[in-house]
Amino acid sequence: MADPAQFTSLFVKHERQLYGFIAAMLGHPAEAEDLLQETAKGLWKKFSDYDPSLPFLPWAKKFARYEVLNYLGRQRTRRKYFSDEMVELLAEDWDRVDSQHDARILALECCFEALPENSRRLLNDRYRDANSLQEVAAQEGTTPNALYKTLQRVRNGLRACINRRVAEGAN
Amino acid sequence: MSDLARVEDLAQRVADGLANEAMIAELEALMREDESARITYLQTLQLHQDLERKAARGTLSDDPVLVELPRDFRKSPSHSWGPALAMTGSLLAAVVVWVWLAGQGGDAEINEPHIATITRLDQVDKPLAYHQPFEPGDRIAFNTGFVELTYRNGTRLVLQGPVNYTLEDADRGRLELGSLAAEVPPGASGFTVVTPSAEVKDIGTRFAVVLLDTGRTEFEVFEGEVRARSTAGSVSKSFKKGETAAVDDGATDVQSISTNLIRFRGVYDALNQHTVNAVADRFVQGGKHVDLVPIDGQDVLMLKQLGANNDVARKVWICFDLSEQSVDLDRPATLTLHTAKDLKRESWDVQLYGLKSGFKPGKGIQNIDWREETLTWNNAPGNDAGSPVQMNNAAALITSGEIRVDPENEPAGSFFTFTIPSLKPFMQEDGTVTLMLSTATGRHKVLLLSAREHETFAGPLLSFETQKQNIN
Repeated sequence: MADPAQFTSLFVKHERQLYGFIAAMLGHPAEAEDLLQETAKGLWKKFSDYDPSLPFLPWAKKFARYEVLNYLGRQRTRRKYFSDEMVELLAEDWDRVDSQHDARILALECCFEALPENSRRLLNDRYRDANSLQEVAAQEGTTPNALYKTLQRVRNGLRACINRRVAEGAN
Repeated sequence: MSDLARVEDLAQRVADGLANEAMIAELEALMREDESARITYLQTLQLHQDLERKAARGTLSDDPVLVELPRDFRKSPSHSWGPALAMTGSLLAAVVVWVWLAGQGGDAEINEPHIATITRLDQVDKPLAYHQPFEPGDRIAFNTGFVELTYRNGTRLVLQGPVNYTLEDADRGRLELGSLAAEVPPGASGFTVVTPSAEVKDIGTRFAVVLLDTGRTEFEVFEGEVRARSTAGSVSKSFKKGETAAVDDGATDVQSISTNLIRFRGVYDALNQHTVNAVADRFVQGGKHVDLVPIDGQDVLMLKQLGANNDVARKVWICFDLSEQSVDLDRPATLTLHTAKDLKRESWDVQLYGLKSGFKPGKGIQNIDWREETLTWNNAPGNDAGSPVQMNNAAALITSGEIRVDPENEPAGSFFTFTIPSLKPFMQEDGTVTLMLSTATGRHKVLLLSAREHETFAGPLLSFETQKQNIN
């Protein structure tokens, strides 16, 4: 019989990656949480089929990919989402991106600390408690559009810094 | 702006939940042939998630952060939660607890949403509705016609009246009367139909089951494989494509029988029918509004004309995307429309047009790639801007029919169907079909139909047959 403790341990360990995988395929991160829950239930139902000698994440990603394609197939507004072909392409590329994630996290910690204090505060306000752009804009006394442009610049800068650090580390 | 910079911009909008259909389409076009664009997109979303994580936890570390679970979940007799768990939100806590308690034999479960909805109705004698949801334990029964249920896992079930069927849970149903056919996608295999005499379990297939008045269960496998056993016995047997078998009431064994072509024809044909929702729908208004996108609610489609001029005329455009369907273009299709509001006793003579295949935008502004946000009387493809009723010769009249409403007999949400003899003349290169509506009946009152965005009633639906496989 499948061991729930083992399942929860494995699932929790890879939850972040599975959520990221689903959100990227969907193109609508807000809908990823529901799908992650459906994926978890499907994985649990089939957990007795899982070979513990093999890595959990590739096995789990297959289910996640199926859930995404299944979900997209049921959508009334299909043009709101990527095509099935694009989902498959992104699924293939995702492994490559995920393999660099540890290095990128380390770089992000450094790059984040190197940001001006205003920029760090802005990012924390935006992302803490899933505040919406509108809410943060109201707090900052600006418009959502203007705030979005500012956030965009900060995030572009962060990504450039991360890319530089990762490239330096590779060399 | 370079392509990669544009990808990054669009990816950030996706991450912020600000991407609309046009942006998704543009992003896909940029990424389709460019691996570096796809990497940029994925890294941008990853950064967004890392920033969320950092803001929520104060760190990007994977070390567990123990969180007090909501009280309601503590229904296990044991207060030990087993392994240390990294909880990142109530969603994950709920999933983990569900799994843990399921393993402990606990009875606390997350409340499940509906497991299936009605996705097609065909001459049913009961007041069922499109998109009507069903929860575990719900029963559906009717005397005539066909109903298609689509489960959340993608399983499609077609029920033929008279029928009595209970949705026991997400992958099991009980047939107490009548017949059904099932199409089970990969990943949902294991779907089981139970009758008083037999249990038929799908291994990845299409199959049909009928319960006869004598209590005998018969079933046929159209594709793939099922495993079946008698409810009075314990041995299950495998049956593959083209095989038919039966279990008599009280018998312990499942017996192969010769195929009865008539027995399952009805549900088999119904299983080959598919229904899709519109991907775009909008009404346009003539007169002084010819260059304006109507500002009335997007969730309704208005049909009206009054007098010979087009000052108050309103016509409707509806687009269906069939690019991923194996449509049998030589077979009839059905357009289903729902009224969106209780109306006084009125009737409208509604004309249904189709945009002819091979449509090419002319020098004017009419464009096949029409969008809800930009559609107007003047740019709608195929529209005769000088007529309150007609289309130009880029469109063909398919049929006309009366929509008669009476709040007593046809309350809001009632549906009306139009038969399209063939979709072939209207299929565009991109796999879309655009249909148009106008009314030849002048009325002060406007006919209100529900659009795809309507929260209560289904929007326009197109039902068609898929290319057939031989039943045997």
